[in-house]
Amino acid sequence: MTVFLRLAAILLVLFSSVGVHRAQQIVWPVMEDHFYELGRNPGFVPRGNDLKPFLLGFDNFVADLFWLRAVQYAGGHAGVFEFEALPEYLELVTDLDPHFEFAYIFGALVLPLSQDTLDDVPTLLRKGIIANEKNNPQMLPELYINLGFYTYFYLNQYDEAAEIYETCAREIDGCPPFADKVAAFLRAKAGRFEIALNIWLERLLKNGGEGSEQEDEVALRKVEESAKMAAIDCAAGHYFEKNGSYPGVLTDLIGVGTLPCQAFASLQSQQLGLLEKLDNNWNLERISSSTLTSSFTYNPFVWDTETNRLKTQSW
Amino acid sequence: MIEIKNVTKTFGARSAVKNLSLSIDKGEVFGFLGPNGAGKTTTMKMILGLMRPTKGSITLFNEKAGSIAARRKIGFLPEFANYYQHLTGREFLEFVGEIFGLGQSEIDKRSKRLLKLVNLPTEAHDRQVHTYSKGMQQRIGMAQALMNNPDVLFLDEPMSGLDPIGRREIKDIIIELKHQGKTIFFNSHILSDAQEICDRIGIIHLGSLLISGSIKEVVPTGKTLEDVFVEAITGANKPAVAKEKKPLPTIAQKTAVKTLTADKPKPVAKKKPSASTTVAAKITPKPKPATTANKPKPATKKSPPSSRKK
Amino acid sequence: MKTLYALVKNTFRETIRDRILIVIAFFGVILIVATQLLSAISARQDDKVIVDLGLGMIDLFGMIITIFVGTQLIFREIDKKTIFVLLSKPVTRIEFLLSKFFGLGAILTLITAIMLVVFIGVTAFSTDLIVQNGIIDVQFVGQILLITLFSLLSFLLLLALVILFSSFMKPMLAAFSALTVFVIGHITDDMRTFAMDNTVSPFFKQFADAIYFVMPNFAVLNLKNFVLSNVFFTPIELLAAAAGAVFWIIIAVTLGSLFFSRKEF
Repeated sequence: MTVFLRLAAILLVLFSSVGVHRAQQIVWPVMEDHFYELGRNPGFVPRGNDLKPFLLGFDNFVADLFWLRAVQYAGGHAGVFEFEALPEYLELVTDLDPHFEFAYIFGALVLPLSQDTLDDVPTLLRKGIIANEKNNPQMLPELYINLGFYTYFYLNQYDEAAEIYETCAREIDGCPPFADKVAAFLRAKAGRFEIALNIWLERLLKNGGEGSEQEDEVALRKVEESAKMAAIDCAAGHYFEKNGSYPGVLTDLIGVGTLPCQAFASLQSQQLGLLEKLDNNWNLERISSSTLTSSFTYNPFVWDTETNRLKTQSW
Repeated sequence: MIEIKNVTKTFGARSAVKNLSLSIDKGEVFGFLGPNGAGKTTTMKMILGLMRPTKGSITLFNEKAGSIAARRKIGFLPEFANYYQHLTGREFLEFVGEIFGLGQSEIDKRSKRLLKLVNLPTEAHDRQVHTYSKGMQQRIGMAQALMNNPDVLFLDEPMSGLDPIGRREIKDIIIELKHQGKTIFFNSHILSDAQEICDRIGIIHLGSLLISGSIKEVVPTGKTLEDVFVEAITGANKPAVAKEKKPLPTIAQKTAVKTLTADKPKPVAKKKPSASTTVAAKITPKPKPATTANKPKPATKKSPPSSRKK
Repeated sequence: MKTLYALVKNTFRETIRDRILIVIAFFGVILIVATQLLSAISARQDDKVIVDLGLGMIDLFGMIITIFVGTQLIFREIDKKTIFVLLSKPVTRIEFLLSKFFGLGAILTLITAIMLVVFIGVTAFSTDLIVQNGIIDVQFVGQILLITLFSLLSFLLLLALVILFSSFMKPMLAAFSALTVFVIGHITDDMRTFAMDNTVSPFFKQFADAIYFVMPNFAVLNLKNFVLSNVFFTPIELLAAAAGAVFWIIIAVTLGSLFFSRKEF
């Protein structure tokens, strides 16, 4: 009798496990679709500040739960590159926990991958900056760097991106040392050679032997490069004033004067003296052929006839 | 020793105790009898200070009832208590001893003696109270009430809910304490026990004291306490009905007379020094003032039912 | 004092033997299971999630114990009639009430301490937040200790409220009332800020102000949302928050004693 009972029990367990498995097969896809739809609909995501009073101080923990949900959502939509609801999720998460660094960074990395959510990044990062600038400044460098990169890489707004990096380098404690270099690069890319020159000069003077020799060497070369670019830019301006048109090729500028040049006018005497001490096989006042050819190993450039600006080809 | 003077306790519109006066002397075993809901426990709680009288005053050893000084000298066994479930019997007594500020050696000495007195099996001393039977719980309750070697012991229905053997044991303990000369005040509705143990009894019904006096005086020869009790209660319940049917003076009315006389001459009785004469004075029937005092009461009680009948 | 000590010891012993410590087993199991699950799905944020979960659970468990055990403390004594035994002995009602506060307060301290140790153990084992390259991160551990200390303060404040309400209410109602004050105590700050920021009626402003000053502030005792950030509190801020809590504990227990002294059984 007991043998039969045991057999019946085993069979029951077997059948029911098969049943559960079958039920899962049927129910799960439906559930998944359902959750997918819920997740897609941004209205489904509650607003953090509405939720806050009900959390009784468990804000961080609830933020983490929604973070898990956000990550699942992003993972689930990675194949189609649509993250409609992700900005809402991240806003919620960062409302609840304004110090959740990775939530901002994750947004800056993932949101630009879809056209729909590309524009949501600055809002998120600027919110993070405002929320942390007073009482949690250690988080700021990361936010600034990400915001700068986004502005440069996805929006191609070099000047704006450079400004962000400059602010970071100037005002934020713990900003990585490459921030001003990136700013200089972006300024050069934007055609603001005088600012790039300034940044490099400052860096060179600031290092003043403190930095490694290699770094000083790079900075020195960059100063020279930026100065030449600035000179060429000024010469192009003078060429336009005289001829009513921009040069077709760079060699047209040979012999054209560069002074007065805004870029050099704003330099301090100390900086000017430094420029003059450079190994001068070129003339600061007048474009010569050597101005156009030497010292551009790292940063070759051409004259862009469409925009009538100097255009760097690569870093 | 215990003086209860004109005490009334009302809960909203309902009065649980009405103008109760009672005095208990040293060394007496007083049985406070009455049906369920008569006001016995309420009275006891007022004496202990768990409740405050609406009117009147209660003193113990000339201290106000409920004062710390009064509470130092009393012991109390509540009805149907579930003592601290996770303490062992011994720990419970230790805790009670600490409340009274006794030293460890004194606590050990007293708990040993009390555990023996209440006859709690040795194996149960270090078991948690929730494993105890009802009788054992009652016995440990008795032990905790005696921990401070009280002058007066208050027992609320000490025998209820116990099987015959348990009742016997508790009764034996009370008799033993009586022999030791303790003053004991206990509530009960188990009359045979009361008759066996008590020196004096009081019968309370609907908040009013109907009878009080020594057993000998209250219970005439040839009757049991039960007879007296039932007659007193039924008499107090339906004097109105009785009057409608036939205005024959029943024994109930006689006992009612006794009650009121028992109350009234008390100030007089108090002046007298000897206990026995006090009791005698209390019981002396004084018909005239009694009947005048008695009559308005049933009349007022009668009016609602009679108006309903019309 | 001796009497109070005996009563406190009894409350402590009764509660401990009521298998309350099983809560800690729950705590440990949930935390350990969570650490295993979370590392898989949290996109490398498992450190943060574990810390938030651990601190949140310490708070939650403490609150649950406070509410559930706290509301039973007085009720059970009345229900089992043990209170008759105590109050017919030379025990004042204030002593009785205080013993309930200190007895459960001691339990809460003990349980919080054990949960903290379990939490630190699990965190040290599954993340490198506590021990990094063989060096203990003193700042982080200090932060955790401070947060837990303030959690404990909030339990004690909640306990005082629970005792206040159960001095004259039935357990369910007392729990509900204490929770209501707890909830309001969490949002008075927000309400006041809202009233200041927005163009609301002057009546509401005054109302928010009034609530802010007549309700205990639980939000300032809740530091756990600042863990892993570098938000810094000055000692003055912390002392003020703690002093506020102690002030309200005293008020609540005193009021409770007042009500309880008038109670009849």
